[in-house]
Amino acid sequence: MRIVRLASTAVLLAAAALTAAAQVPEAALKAAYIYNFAVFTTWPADSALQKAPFAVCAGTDSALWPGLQTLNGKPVNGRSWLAADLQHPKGGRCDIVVLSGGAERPAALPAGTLVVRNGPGRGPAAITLVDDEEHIRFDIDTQEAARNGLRFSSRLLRLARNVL
Amino acid sequence: MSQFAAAGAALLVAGCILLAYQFVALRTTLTDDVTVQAAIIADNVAASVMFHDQDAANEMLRAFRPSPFLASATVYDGHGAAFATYRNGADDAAPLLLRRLPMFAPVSVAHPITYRGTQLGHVVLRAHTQGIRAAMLRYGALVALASLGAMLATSLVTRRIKKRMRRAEGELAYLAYTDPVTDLANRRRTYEALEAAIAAHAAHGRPVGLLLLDLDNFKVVNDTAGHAAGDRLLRQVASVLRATVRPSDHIGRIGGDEFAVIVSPLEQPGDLQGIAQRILEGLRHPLQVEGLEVTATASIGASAFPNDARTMSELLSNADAALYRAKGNGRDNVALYEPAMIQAAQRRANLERDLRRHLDAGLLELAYQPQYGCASSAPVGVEALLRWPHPELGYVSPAEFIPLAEESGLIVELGKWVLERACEDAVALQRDTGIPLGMAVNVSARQLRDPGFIGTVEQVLDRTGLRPDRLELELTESVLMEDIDGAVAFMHRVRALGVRLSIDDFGTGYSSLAYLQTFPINHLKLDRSFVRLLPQSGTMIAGAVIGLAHGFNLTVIAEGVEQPEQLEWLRQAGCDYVQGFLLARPLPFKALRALVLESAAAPA
Repeated sequence: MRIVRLASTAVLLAAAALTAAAQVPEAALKAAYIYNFAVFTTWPADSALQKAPFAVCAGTDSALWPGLQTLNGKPVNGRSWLAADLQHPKGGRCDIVVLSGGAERPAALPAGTLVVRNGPGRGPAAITLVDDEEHIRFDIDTQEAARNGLRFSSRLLRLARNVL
Repeated sequence: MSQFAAAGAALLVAGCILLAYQFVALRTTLTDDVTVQAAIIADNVAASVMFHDQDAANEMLRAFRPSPFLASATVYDGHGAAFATYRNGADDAAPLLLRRLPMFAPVSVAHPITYRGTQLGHVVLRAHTQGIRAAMLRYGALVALASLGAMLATSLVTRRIKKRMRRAEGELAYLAYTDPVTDLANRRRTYEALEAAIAAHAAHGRPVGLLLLDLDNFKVVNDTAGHAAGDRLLRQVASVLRATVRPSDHIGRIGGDEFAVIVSPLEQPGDLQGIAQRILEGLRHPLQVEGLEVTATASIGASAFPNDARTMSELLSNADAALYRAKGNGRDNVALYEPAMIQAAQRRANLERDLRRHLDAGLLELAYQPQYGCASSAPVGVEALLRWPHPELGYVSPAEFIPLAEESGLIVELGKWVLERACEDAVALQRDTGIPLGMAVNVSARQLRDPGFIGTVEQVLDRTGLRPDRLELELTESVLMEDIDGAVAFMHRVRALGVRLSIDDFGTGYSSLAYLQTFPINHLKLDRSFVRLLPQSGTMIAGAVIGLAHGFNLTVIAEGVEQPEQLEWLRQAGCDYVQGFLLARPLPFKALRALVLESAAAPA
């Protein structure tokens, strides 16, 4: 009897947790996803960038901007997360570029830049965030990533909806 | 049985230790395996947790379906909420009781989920212990089987060892209690059986009979035909005894040629005589021993308990006294115990003791019986006769004490004393009277076998200065016949010294004329038993002996002449010498000297 009661309690707790996760605002969740992408991605080695902040560039008017800003200071591969304006990036370079669905990809992005597009759009992007029946999913373009000298962890690839 | 219990307990303890060790090893291995799986899951599920991808997490967990022991796996996120769960559908088939045992409780392992130093949650794995239980069951069965096999092997080996030990014990007991020659009970076992029979008397109240049997001629067979023949004779006697007595009776060999028969239960003491007679009759059939035909004769002494004796040792000594009497009665016969026999035995023991003392104290005397030529009245020689004037018992007959001296071996010393004294007296007599007389001294069987006797004779002659041809040694015919080769050799050595020889009591025993021819003797002595009959009867034998002796060129002396008619007949028959009461009684030395002087003075 006791075992049964314990089990049912556990199920109730799990259900509550799931509900809580669903209530997190979509934009904040996507920002967290982007942080996770950073964690599962390997950049080409560049000793000059060892001490520099980890620049995440996005349009200040984009939906994700507030969420990205809340992550400022979080460590990414030994560096510190810093949300930056896509138009005026600090130091003139970005580690991640977050584009809104329809936005044009800036020309002449240097190698070693991870492009994440929020929603479908034209132009190549290594990762594309997709809303899929109330779930946030993502597609990965490994060829595009390879062109930029980036490698994704297999764990990340396994979770992707589509891998090109 | 206790050895089995001990071995079983030892195996049980060893088995328990092995099982415990095995259990700990199995459980440790399981825990290690589950820990490894938890680590793998934690590693693989990290990304899913980060991206809240429950489908991917569940899919990943399902990949562990083939694991034989995994019961459930649950992934918890950073908030402690269940994120993904996998549950193995197969239910634990073990009985609830076993599952509840702490030792068979499921193994539960928790492992944190981290990625790049950040803890994302944890995974909890539960493994059921079905595999351990099955392995323990198999291992337990193996240990039990091995223990059973070990016990079986041990019991087999133990049984064989015990069997061997029992056989060895049996052999030892057989050796300790059996006479190896005849397979009869030995002295020890016989005495034990007698003790048991006497103890049984208390139960059934019937008397116990004891027969002691002594072979009369065993020594002769043993000496002449060899020990193998002696052993054959003993075995034949044993088989005669077995065939004669009842199965309930007990036969034992208690000495060299001594056997004992315990008759128990004995209906009445009088039956012993009949049983003993049947044994003697059985023995009288000639036996074939090493090609020789031997007739074993025996003397048997019988005694019964409690009629004759109150204790076992008394019974034994009574039967022994009766045996002595049977032997004294001329052997090949039976004597039943009578109280007088014990007195006789007592007397024998006393006499033997006194004889030794009196010999040392110089209380023994020699008497000399003169011997005459048939035609003359002057003595030509004397026969030395031993006299024992016992301070309390008076004169003890030589017929009584000589056999005692023979048995005890005192005869050697006694004979030497007689020889010395007789020779000294013979020399003294000649010195005192100027007349040389022959001196006849009797030699016993024991002296004949004594290898030092010839040397003694030589020394005595040397020391006393008696001329060897004045000394005459008298041998009895029966002694000579016991060992003819030895006797002939002895006689030749005696004759080589120049000493004369005569045969005593000729014609009374089993004489062989063929042997008479080979004996280097000078005299034949006509036994007093023949002389006593003269002249009315016995003339044929007396005449034949005289004729035979003369035919062999021997002189004849007749002993025990008491009547003038006897002397007259002997003179007529051509007998050479005579001795007897008619002519002179045995005399002490001084009287002899007087007689010799007197007869020398008288006209011939």
